[in-house]
Amino acid sequence: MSERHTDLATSSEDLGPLLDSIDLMYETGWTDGLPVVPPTRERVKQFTDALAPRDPGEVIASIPPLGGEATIERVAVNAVMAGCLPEYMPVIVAAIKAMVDDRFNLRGVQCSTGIHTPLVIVNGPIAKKLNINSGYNCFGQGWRANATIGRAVKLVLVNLGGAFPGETNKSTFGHPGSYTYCMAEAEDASPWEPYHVELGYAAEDSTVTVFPAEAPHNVMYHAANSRNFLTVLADTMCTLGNVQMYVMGSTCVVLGPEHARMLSEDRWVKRDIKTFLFEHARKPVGLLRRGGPPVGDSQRSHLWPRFVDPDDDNQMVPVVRRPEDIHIFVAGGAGGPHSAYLPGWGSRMVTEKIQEA
Amino acid sequence: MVNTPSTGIQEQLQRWDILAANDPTANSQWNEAPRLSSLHGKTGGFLGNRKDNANPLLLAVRELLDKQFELSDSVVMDKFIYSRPAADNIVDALSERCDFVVTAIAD
Repeated sequence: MSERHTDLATSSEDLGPLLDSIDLMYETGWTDGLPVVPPTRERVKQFTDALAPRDPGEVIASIPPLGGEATIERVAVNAVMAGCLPEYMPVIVAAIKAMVDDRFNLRGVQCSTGIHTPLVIVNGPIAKKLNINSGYNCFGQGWRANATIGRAVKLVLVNLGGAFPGETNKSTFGHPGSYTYCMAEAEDASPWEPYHVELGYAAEDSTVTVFPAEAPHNVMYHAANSRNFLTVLADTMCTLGNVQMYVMGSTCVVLGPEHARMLSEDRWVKRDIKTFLFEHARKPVGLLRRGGPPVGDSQRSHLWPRFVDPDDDNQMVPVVRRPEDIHIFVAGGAGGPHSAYLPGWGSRMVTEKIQEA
Repeated sequence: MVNTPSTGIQEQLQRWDILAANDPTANSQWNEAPRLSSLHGKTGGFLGNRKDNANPLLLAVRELLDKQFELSDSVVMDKFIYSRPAADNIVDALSERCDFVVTAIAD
């Protein structure tokens, strides 16, 4: 763990310059509306040192739409501002690298009129090491790592990507997660292999997964029938207003520990769950047409799976093109009969291995 | 555009040794197209995004400009996916044939 500041101010007068510098940071236009930690050269160096021997000038990515170069040092500046600890840097750098993967379509994510924002999900040993919350309130407040890793990513996207609201960021409503949106998978509470192991990584590896997600939509189910629960979940996934029904891409299910245990005890594995949801989270073409698809009828078929005839009102359209486009995580607190569905935006979920120094 | 603080703010940041959160050079890669003195008799490009609402508006703009400025020609093209930039061959074709281009964005 990094060295902590021990020379605390002895009187409120000593805090004056610090408060002035926080106010000054507002004047720069580089904050998200909340106070930030002033990124002094000395503090930033602690963060770049966390990735030594990598050069602070190393360019991780060019961030669209503006194309600002995210060097390690500039990422560190934004991480300091977010209130991170230096040891969070490998996670933030990996998340940024994942977001510029073409499958993620970061330019579109940054500029769209939609209501999504990148969600960061951490797997592997680093999640415990950094105390990234995966349990009660995992999408909410209370954990420094969740709050500040997610915030650092968002500050990078705005300050280096230039996605200013109303200018190049055309999001109609924005998203509370535009301040921060980060959690870990509750691997100990999961009856199945962790998400990153499912992808082929070793259990000892740590990974970060990014996904342009809407807000979590609660799926309540108090009874004890796995098939009925999955039917409820599938119904939640395929609402007419869900952009996913028209643009496909990846989609995200977060099973609460109680639901995951129920499914596992009934011998459901992730593959079967995905197949069930793919088969049942569907709406007929005729009904979807009322939803006002974003592209004309003659062009829709290139987004829906080829087996769907867009001219047949009775054909059933799945929420995604393939079962494997449904990504399942386990997280949340014990005791609650809740899971969450997070609609996507048409692009792909991307995972990157975290390179620890 | 890069969010550049005023000179006074930048001086204060320097005094406190506070580093910049942005890339001050990012603007330099974007250049405005040369401004035309008039649209009269020019060839206009109209790049659609394949959205049902945006494209009729784009075509209405074309009609309006043609009526008002007597365009010599107009080139209408669509990009494949609305959320991604147009492919290089589309950009090349428009820049080769057109004096100006109007693009459809959003919904």
